[in-house]
Amino acid sequence: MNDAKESQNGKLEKLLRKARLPESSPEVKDRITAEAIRVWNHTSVEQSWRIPFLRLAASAAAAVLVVCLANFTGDHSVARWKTSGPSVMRQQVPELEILPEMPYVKHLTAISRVLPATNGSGLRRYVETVRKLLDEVQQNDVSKPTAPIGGGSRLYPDRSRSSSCS
Amino acid sequence: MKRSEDDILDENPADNVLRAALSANDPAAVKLLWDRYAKGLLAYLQAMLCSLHDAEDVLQTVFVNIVRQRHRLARARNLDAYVYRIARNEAFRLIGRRKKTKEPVKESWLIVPERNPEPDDLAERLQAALEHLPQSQREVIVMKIYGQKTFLDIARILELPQNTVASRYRYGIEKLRTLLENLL
Repeated sequence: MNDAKESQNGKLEKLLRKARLPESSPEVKDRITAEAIRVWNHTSVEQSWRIPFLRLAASAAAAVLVVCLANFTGDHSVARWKTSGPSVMRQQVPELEILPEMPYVKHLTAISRVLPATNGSGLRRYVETVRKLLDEVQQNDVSKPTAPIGGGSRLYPDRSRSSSCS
Repeated sequence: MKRSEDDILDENPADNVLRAALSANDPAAVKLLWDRYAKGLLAYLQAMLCSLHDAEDVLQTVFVNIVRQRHRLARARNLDAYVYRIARNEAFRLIGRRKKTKEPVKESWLIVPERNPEPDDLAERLQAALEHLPQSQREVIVMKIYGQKTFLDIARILELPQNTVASRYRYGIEKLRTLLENLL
């Protein structure tokens, strides 16, 4: 079986060898060698060394361009979600910093954490509680004028006292 | 001490002459390149492209590229592999362009001498059968049969193990045997 296959393969190779590939004409040889010599004379060795460096520089420039374009298009596409006015600014008022320490703010925070379900009656109850609390705070302010909301602070020295010392 | 094939290749006097001409920036190297590679490259390109005209056009591009890269070629470890790699890349570029334009190639690239007692259409049938083969098998068969290269030469040129080249040849021949059964 294998011998038959081998002999057939041998025949096939012989058959293939009966054909041949056409060779190039002398004109083709002249054309190609003339073009090659022309290119040879136009590219010095120094120039041919420069080609990879030029390619590298071009690739780097292209990469920078792509990154810049990506940045630009990215900014452009998210622009509509950006706030038009100034974004959140840090409050410099010292009273705000001590707000979380105040007892009623703590209480408000505690209440807000246990905010009931967002149904109508629950919200109404919540608003009433907050209102009651604010009323209490207001009353406290009236009864204690040196309360730390507007004027003094527990953290900062009393301005009137400090000015009197100076 | 056993010497590697590459060492032997580097000692080839023709290689050294060519390297010297390339290093000296001597345009006479073009003629040396032509004498050494033109025939084999043309056969290889015809096998890849199934067209003499396209093969000639690509051969010109290959020579121009070789000239542009002559400083690298002069220092290449394997001159043959380097040159054939350029040819292979250019051939694939043209094949890619053909795929885009979807141009069918209808050209005779195999001839049978007229004094041959074989059927008139032998060349056409052989060509059609060869065109049915995968390109990797066709290039090995064409280099072996028409380029008269050994498996070792082909392995060096294609930078493949010799066994791979031999098996590609065997598989190709098997397929051709099936395709040309009525001629055997």
